[in-house]
Amino acid sequence: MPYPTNELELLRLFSQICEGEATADQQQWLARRLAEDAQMRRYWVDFMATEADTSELVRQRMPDAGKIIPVDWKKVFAEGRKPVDCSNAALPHGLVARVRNVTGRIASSFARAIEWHLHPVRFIGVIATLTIAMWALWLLIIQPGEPPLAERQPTNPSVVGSHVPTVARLMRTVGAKWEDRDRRPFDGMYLRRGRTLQLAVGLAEIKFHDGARVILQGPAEFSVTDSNHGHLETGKLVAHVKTPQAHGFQIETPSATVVDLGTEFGVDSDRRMSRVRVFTGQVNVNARGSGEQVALVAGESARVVFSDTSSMRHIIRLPSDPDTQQRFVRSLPERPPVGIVWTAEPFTSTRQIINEGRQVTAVNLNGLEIVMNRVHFVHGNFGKPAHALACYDSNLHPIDGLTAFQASELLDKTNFGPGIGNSLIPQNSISGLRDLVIGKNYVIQALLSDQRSNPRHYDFGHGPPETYTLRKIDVSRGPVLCTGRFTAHATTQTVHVQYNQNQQLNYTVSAWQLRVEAKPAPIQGR
Amino acid sequence: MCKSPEQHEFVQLLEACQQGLMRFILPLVPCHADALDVLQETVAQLWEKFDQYDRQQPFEPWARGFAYTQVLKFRKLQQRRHAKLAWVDDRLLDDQLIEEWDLQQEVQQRRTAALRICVEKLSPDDLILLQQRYWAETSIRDAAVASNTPEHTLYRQLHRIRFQLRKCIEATIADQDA
Repeated sequence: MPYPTNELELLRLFSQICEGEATADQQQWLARRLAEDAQMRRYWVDFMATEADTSELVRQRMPDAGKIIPVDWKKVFAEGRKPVDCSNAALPHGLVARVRNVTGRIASSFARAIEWHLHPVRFIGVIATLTIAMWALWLLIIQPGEPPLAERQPTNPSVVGSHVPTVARLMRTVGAKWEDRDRRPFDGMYLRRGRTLQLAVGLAEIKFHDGARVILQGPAEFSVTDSNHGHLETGKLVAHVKTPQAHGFQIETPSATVVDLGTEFGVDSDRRMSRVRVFTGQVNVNARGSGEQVALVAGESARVVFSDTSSMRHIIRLPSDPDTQQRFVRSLPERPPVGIVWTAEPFTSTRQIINEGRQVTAVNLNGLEIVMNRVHFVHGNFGKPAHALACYDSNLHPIDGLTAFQASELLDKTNFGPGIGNSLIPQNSISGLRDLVIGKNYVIQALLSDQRSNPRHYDFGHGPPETYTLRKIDVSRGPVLCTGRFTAHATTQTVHVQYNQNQQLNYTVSAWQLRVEAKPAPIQGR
Repeated sequence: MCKSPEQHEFVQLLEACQQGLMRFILPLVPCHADALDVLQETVAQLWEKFDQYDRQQPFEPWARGFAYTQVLKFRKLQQRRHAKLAWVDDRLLDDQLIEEWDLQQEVQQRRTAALRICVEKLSPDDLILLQQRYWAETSIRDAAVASNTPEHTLYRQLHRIRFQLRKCIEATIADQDA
């Protein structure tokens, strides 16, 4: 199995990489796939998060487990430049203590584990006991090990690991394209002090740690200079300053400084001059160099320019002009309700949507969760065909070209394969399940959504009609993915998904899928 | 116990974010033992620079920066040692992975909660195998040699457990949703 072709094999490859068992070719293959495929990245990061959590959770269940991952504190507290308070520092949750405490138990339990692994061979004899004892000895000895990273190099401030603190966060963007090449900004990214953002087009919302929010309008060049301080070289922004500790929020431009006094204001800069408009509250505008200062209140605007007669900048109040107001985008549009792509083949069609800039919701191949994402996170290829079941735009209108699928061909071929049935129109059942295998376990999923805002409850049932049970589903906070399991019977011809039989409700089943429940690979003896 | 108030504060801050750091490091250094090494070095660096830490800022993002530096350092060291299977050193890919990591933060909380339930359901033998895998000072290979168990048998067990946990997480979340 050089390269994985389905989820199970992919998981095995991840697992092999964790164990250092993968070949160099496999690693390179994965690295390439990770670089080009967002879904693969998603899967990888998710897998590794589970790996990290698993290790921690099993650690917590060890006898006398400390609250903290065992770190060699002696080394930490002794090696740093800081003076050590105590010459022979005790180890608060040290490695030594931990290993000493658990060794006995692990060694004996592991003996049982090995015995179990060898079943039915039942290979526990004198030799095994001896070797286990040797192995236990291994545990007891705290291996000095080679110093993994002995030399201390100066850190490079240009990388993410610089010590510059973050002062703001890029909250979200709409249609944003960035000119920053080497470190492309992303939604949710923390911004270090001094970070400059070059927004080519679109909108970006930045929240400063002190509470001020800025809506940046591309094209613009903007730097976060401190947690309450920004520099707008060129472009437009609107600042919202609502929290008390954000008062005094400052925006600098090459020509002016705008100091907020609790307000919402817009600034437009083109290096030579700045325009300021106050929507609510009050700001102080200072012209650079000349020291001229003007206070503006709600509805007022001003311009900071060089005067014709001198080389000094001065401030000109502008007549109230509705056009000025319109030029500023004061808030990001709400995230539109989104459609769904179950999986994301074919590639070409997905690209098509990207080009159209639409948003979709992805339901991952591996996950049961719904991910609100930009569309480019959706395209993906897990090796095995993973066809798009359906794709809808933000109005839940199907997007042409992405609804085609061939369920019966795919149903049984992959462990995780997309299933059957796609419907925008409310349906009560999926019928004609020819491919069901009697006695086999199936999973049915349906995505329920309701575009109205007030809470709605639906009943979701699954399984053959005679056995299905209903559950209440609350879809008030967005689409809900419902999942049920059933075993196919001889008479299973249809599967029902039912919501509020008795009431007229404006529900939508965005999509559903049926898949074969994958069972863990059978455990084989030696 | 011999800890200064500063050390005490440091340990407390670390305690709150160590798991987050592990989760940050692992996708970039996909081997638990290596990631622990990176964490160890990160902690040492953090302590060294602790007087520069701005108490107004959250600790974890600050710490993460150090973690990434240590990731890069670790890889350099691996390359110098010609480690057989050094993970790719690709800053661009790192960026992509960190971006993805960031996006998953919210979803992951739920998955962690589900995993907690799933770990409780592990058989004692599986639990011990995992504890051995992650926290014993010996590798699986050593354990296999020492116990005269074929190595691949142990690996197969680990694959199986990972797969089971994964399925269990998904089922748990699905049950909660339904």
